[in-house]
Amino acid sequence: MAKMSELIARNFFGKKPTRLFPAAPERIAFDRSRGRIVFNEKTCILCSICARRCPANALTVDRATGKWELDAFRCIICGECVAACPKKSITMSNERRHGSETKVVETFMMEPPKPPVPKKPIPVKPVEALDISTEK
Amino acid sequence: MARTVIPFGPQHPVLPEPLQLKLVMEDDKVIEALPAIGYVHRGLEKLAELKDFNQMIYVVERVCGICSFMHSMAYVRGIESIMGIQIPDRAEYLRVIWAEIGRLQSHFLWLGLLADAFGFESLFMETWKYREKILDLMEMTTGNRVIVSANKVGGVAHDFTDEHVKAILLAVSDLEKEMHQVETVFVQNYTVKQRTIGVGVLTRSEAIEYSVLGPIARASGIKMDLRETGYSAYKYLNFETIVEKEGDCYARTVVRIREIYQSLDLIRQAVEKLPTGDIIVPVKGFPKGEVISRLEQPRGEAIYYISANGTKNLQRLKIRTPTFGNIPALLKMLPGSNLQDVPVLVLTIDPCISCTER
Amino acid sequence: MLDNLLEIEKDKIFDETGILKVNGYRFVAASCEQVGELFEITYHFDLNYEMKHLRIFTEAFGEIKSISSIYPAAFLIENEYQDLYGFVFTDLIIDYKGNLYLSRKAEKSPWVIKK
Repeated sequence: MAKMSELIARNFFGKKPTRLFPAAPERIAFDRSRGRIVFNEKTCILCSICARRCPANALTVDRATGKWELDAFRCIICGECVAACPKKSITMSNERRHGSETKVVETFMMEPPKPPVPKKPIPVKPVEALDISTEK
Repeated sequence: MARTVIPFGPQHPVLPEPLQLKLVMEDDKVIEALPAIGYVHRGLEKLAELKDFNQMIYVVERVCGICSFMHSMAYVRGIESIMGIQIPDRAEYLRVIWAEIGRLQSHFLWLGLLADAFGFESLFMETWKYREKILDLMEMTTGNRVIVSANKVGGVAHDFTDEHVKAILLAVSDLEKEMHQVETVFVQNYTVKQRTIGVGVLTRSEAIEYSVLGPIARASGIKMDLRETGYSAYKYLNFETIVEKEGDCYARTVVRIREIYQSLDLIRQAVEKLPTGDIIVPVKGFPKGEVISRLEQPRGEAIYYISANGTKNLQRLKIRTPTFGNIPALLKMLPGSNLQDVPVLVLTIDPCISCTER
Repeated sequence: MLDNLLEIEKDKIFDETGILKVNGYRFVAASCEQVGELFEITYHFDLNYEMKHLRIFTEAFGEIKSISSIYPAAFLIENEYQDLYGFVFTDLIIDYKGNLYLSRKAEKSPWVIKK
């Protein structure tokens, strides 16, 4: 009886192991927790290495129109695109996304790369060319 | 007496995943049992023809939601063996530490489900409260709780800092003290003993005939544990196989509780011996050849057959998980038992049906 | 190539498996791969952590004698290959006849790569 009342008192008045979410605030994530990926459009060069490496086919990169699109519902937050980008434009943040009733697609439009201008051919001046005219 | 057929259906409160057993009953005793699987078949092995061999790591991890780290470890070890890559020692130790943390959280989950199977809900909640500490360790070091994506061909993707090492050693010593209280209830409580001693006996010769694996074989007296072969960093750690003799549900519970203590000890040894160095080596080229890669998952021995032909997609990937080898043993254990023992018996083989059907 | 691999005729698989059982080997798994028009089925066995493999070749939808009367644990994997590749295993101890994974309206033998 004494052991049971000690147990009841400890469970009733002690610290609870669970959190009263949503009344209490949410748990603070660790530094390395993977929440969502964040895109910086100023440094992107539209090389589309990230779209080729994505295992879930969540990224679409269109070089002709300058569009970079992420389908957030397909992303598995694995971090392959973060490791693959040569300009480090994609980073991982530890804030999670919350539930949503409509599909979340993030689209960024950038300047498409201009096609290369054909260079004018430089005129070649013959120097010490052999003279093979028939006049002697 | 007339016989009836009861479906121990795909939806049942005690099963974590869908499995159907058709039980032929006479009064209260089971005469015959027929398993039927196929409710979560996703065809993941066929995806190896579409995704390249680096993207397959993420597919293979998602075969199971409990033993997920060891699936990617077996796959990556197979590819490294085909390509002849030698990974640094620090990466081997890190893989072993994460694998033992994965084994701990799987055994704690199973203890909670067993307590729930005979209606002891407060013990179920206590066990899962301790499991949360282990999942916090995984999230602190890799970023996610169960499906961690930490393995890459050539090494691992994340490293430990000094604070992580201190937190792991503190959690391990706290868990050992708390585990003593939980063990007393499972091993000495009168109700638990009445429900598990003498139920579902599998003798040693029957276990050899039905090719069972993992803790079920070790509880029937067969000394079989793949970690004895010393793959990865296990050759540098002290390790002993745990064997019990009776072969009933009580013996299987005791084997898994003793494995929890052994895993805590292995983690402490590995963290103290952790060498310095790189964690990944660069990899070039495509794999060509065939290999068999096996390791010891929490439920038994898992075997991967990988066949590659020099392009970026694999030709064939075949996975055989331990529950696939343990389900035929149900055909021997169920006949002769009472209907009220069937949930506890099915749960002691630790069924992970999404692994079985991939 | 795997170590300890033995390639044998399709009719001899039952006798060779019987010899391995007498020597104390444990049945581990069976894998199947399509190579062009032929199919190779490999049976894996183990004794004291050393593996041994037996490989047979068969054409599409062929008939093979089942080893489930020697090793009862093999009935699940042979039923799976009946569903997915369309083989017919004779003398199975429990035969699901192509209904283990596939439902009645599903396409038959979905993993066979047709040209």
